[in-house]
Amino acid sequence: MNRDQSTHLKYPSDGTTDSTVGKIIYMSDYGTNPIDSTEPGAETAESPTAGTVSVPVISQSTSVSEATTEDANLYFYQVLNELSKIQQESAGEVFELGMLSTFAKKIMAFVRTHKTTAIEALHQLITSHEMLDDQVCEILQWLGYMEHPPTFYMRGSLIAHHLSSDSPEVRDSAAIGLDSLGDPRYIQQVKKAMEHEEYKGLKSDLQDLLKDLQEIAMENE
Amino acid sequence: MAFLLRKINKKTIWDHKDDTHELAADALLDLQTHDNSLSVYKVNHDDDSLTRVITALAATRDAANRFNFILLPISLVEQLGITMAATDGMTPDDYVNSTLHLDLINLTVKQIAALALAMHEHGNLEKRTKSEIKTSIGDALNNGYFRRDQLKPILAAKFPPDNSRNPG
Repeated sequence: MNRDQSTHLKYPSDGTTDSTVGKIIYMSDYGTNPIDSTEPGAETAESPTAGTVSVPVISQSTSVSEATTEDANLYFYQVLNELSKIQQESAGEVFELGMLSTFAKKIMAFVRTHKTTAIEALHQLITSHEMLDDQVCEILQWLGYMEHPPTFYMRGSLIAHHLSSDSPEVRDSAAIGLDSLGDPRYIQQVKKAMEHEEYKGLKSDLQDLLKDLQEIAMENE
Repeated sequence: MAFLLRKINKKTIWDHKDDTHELAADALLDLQTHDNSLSVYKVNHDDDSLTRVITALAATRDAANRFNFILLPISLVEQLGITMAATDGMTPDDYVNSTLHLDLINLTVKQIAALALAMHEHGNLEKRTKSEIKTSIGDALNNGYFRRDQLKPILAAKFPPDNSRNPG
């Protein structure tokens, strides 16, 4: 897989802060660039539910030494390889909504260990279609439920990306994940997903999600 | 009117996209039998049995999120020739376990397939939202339907001992 071919994730504008602050490149813990975002706020941003979170920020023009880039790429592929093993070991596991699976436990531990690089690797593996839909659903649900402030934004971005999945099961899990995450900055993306949703049940779930996020937004005001 | 309740994981499979939407085979994953038996709950829409069963089942999980289920009139199940037996449920709510739980027993492949089609064509696919589930579990704790130490640790963490009604 080529990292450069991965689909980039976009953060939503929350409409309350200056969205012209500029492009922020969310580097992995070791400084590479597979996921970018337009993050409202400055070099740190505040989680609406998890307190203040320091977000690693390197401007797009930051130069990175060749050696550092090589180290970062090596680290990323090691993480990706580890994730791939977790995914393969989980093949055949049956998942039940709301029940913590062995796979979900491993994924959450993996995220806590490798932080933003883990999210980048998850994004790459999911978008390369090497994961089963059931596994993707499990990941999206538990990424939303887990508490880990250092990856709060990237988890939200990854989950929201799948509101437009071709798979209705994946879209459903993205809605569940976002509901658990409770970040009102995804309101616009949820509204957009509602406009396009053709399953009446999913549309209703998105309406519930929208209501929950709007209530959180009002509480935060 | 009495219904049988079966919880559903694969909601979108049971959901109707349009009139030609056929029930996919993976729906049978939601009707996984054990010893040819299927666990269901008997509820009524006009009393609190529905909320009590949903809450009890949601309380068996790790995450307090949305709960999907299908309600099917008991009369339709009887028409399929399926045998029902009162057995103990496996929730933290003793009343639900001893009073409202049934097993559909001695099931055949033909009956499971017929049951799946009946659920798809005549059942009501319903849900309780995350907020509703959190509220109902908090209420159940306060009413003594089950105890906090019967919940799984991740779920229990959402219901602090002195603040069950307002989980974080």
